[in-house]
Amino acid sequence: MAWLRKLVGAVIVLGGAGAVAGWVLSAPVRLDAGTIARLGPGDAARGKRIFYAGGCTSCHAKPGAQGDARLELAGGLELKTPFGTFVPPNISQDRKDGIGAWSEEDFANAMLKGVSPSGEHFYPAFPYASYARMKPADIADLYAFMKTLPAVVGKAPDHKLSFPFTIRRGIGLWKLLYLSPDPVIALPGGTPDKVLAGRYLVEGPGHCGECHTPRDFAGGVKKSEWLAGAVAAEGSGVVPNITPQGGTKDWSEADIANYLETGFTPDFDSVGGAMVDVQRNMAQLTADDRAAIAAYLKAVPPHPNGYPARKPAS
Amino acid sequence: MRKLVLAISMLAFAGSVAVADPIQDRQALMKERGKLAGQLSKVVKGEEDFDAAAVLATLKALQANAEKFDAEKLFPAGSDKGDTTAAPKIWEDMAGFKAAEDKFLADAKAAVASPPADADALKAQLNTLGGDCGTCHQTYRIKKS
Repeated sequence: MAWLRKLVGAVIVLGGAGAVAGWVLSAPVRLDAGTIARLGPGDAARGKRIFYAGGCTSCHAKPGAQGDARLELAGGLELKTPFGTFVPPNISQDRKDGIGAWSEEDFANAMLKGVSPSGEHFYPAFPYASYARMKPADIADLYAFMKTLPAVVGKAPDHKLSFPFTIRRGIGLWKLLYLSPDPVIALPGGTPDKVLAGRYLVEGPGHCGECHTPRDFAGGVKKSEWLAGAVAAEGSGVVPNITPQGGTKDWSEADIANYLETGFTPDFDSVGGAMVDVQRNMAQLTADDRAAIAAYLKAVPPHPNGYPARKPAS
Repeated sequence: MRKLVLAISMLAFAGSVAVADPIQDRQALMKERGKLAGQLSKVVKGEEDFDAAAVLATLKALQANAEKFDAEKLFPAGSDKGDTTAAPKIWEDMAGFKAAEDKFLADAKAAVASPPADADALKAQLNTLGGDCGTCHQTYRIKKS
């Protein structure tokens, strides 16, 4: 029976080692000192552009808010996804209910690493997998701009998730697979600055890929089908393919830029669904920014639609 | 004879029901609306010169289009099925849907009542009208392909 005891012992040791490894691997990782040093003091005026590029208000404003109320970032919207219902929190300047007490370093750790000041993982419904590609200086500017926004009292309700998604620590393993500051699309040397600027806006702050790219079983975006369109994570319907093989293939760069500015497609349909808020944010950017986004969208690899063909009318 | 008249009128009634297709009707109305917005956009973008009379005629056509929009008639119960991108939300919140359309009509009327003097003034009006398109499509339309 000695062999059995040894086997059991080995299993316990291995299992224990696996658990320890999993625990270690899933630990929240904060920014290194070098990145923190590059944050520097932010500029609120420049941060306003980043705020609209990042679309913060689309999820964090109170549902249905219009006009200046969109700068009251009290949270409370319900994002109903296959993983459960995510509720964007209060990120207003309230020191208790919002993020008014956060340091610039706390804010950078949230944006670039998905880690809260208390050292917990955020759920990637907060699109830090995209924001991780942002420049530290832009994070600092955004922090400075957010400091100018009003404090709103009141916590948003908690997420409503079911097991195993209730275990935040598991997100650490998800991050090992999907969190990286590297660009999604490698562009060759000599790529025009305009396209590179567009890549930064689309892949980083704009987080376009979060909705426009299909996801795998673990909820990570499939980089092999980047921007190919996807079944909408919320409700019914689809998010369109915006690669050069999608519905926008006949649009010129000027058409794309004009759509982002005015909400009109080249054949004068209008923007709809969740893109309405996005377009209103894009309209706040500069004409150069919209032109850069358009140039990048024309430069990405073409893909067939990342969602099933529409069923014939019944 | 009475029976014949009755039969014919019943046939005619059935025929009219079969011909009236609210989905096609509402899509035609939206297509026309988009076309009119497109004409105004060309002027705003400077692709066409600003011609006050032509712009006013287009704005009037937009108002006429909006006045033809009868939510009850164009979106009867059951017309959420078929080749349509209308969101179920229309029938869950008919009052909200009508309010969104009323806002468009009111803004179109306001534009006709104070016709733009130049392309910049038209741009402001088109922004308002285009915003109405987006606000309604945000909630009441589903992208399907």
